[in-house]
Amino acid sequence: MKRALVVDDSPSVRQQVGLALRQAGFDVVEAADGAEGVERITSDPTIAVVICDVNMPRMNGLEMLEKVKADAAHARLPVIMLTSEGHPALIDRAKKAGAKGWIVKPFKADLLVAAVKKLVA
Amino acid sequence: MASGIEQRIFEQFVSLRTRFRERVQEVNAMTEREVMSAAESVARIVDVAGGHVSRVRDALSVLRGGGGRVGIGTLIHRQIDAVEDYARDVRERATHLQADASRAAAHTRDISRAARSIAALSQEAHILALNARIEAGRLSERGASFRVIAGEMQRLSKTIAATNELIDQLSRDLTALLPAIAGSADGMQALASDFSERFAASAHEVEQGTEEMHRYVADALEHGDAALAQVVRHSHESLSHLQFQDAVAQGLMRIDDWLRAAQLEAAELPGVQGRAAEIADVMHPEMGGDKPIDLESAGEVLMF
Repeated sequence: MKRALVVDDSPSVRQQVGLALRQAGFDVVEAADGAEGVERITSDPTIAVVICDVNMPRMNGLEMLEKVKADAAHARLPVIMLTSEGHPALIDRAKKAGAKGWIVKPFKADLLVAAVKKLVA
Repeated sequence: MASGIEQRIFEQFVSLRTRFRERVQEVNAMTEREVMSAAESVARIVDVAGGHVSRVRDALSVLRGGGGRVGIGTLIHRQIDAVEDYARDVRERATHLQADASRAAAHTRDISRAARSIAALSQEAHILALNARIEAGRLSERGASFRVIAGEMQRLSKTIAATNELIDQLSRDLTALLPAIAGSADGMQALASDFSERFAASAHEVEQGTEEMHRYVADALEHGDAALAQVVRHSHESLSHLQFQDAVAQGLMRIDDWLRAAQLEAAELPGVQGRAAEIADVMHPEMGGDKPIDLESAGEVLMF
């Protein structure tokens, strides 16, 4: 069973993403902001994919992405950004930092699951 | 006067924004709680449906077998085969019994023929003994030994005749019994054949019943899988709709941005200058300012 990390400051979003992924057969762990997300990733090598919000307190999603990808150990860890933002400059920044996808909230659970499955296949 | 009105306007803004922020926090907390409960209910529905389908799958597995387990259909076939083998054994033994009875009948006929031969020989010996007695009488005293031997021969021939008669009687008794034995063998064979036919008919019914049950369970599983797929799809749709809470929460917090902007403008009024420090920060600084919720792009998936 593959493990997914959901990083979002909204408990309801973490719950909804978690439910969709668990129904699809994933094991799901959570983090409430970018800093906690970095701690999870560095301490748990079994995490196979990350779904990450952009706008979060303490450390936002793009900062978390850049910090994680700066470590060669996580160069191949796929990260999908899940956010209400759709600004092209932010999307471009995420792409350059190594994100594998960008999903605009509110998301469609089946499309999210399909994108995550594709990345861990 | 003007500064008094401006001060009151500014204070009204502060009070309004404070009450608005409190109410937004209450509403967001309540809606988040209710949405999360609804999502948990959706998840339980999917779990219950999945559990039901799993139980039907287990039932089909018991019927079909596999994974080291023998299916019910196979068990029934094995029992049917075992009973049919037994009935066939009984028929074969009955056939052998009939053959043995026939051979016994042939042997008793041979025994009767032999008995008749012995009877004839015995009669000849008796006649010979009589002739010997007659000749012994002619020899008078010199024939005494001869008379004894003749007497013994006569006695012996009578004994042989009596024994032969007994053998013949036994042979006739045996011959009389053999048809009954053959009849019992016939009866056994008929019974075994009748049992085989009736059992085959019952076994066929059992096999048909098992096949039908198998079909019903497989059909139930197929429908169950399809229903479960629908339940999961609808649960995904529900989860998608439940995200309204996050969008609404962000929307309400954006209103706080507007109120803050209006407060900042009010703080520029001549009678209010110096009170900008009383203006609270935005509720959600990480949102990055007042941007509209991009509903048109909602759900878009961009893969890089």
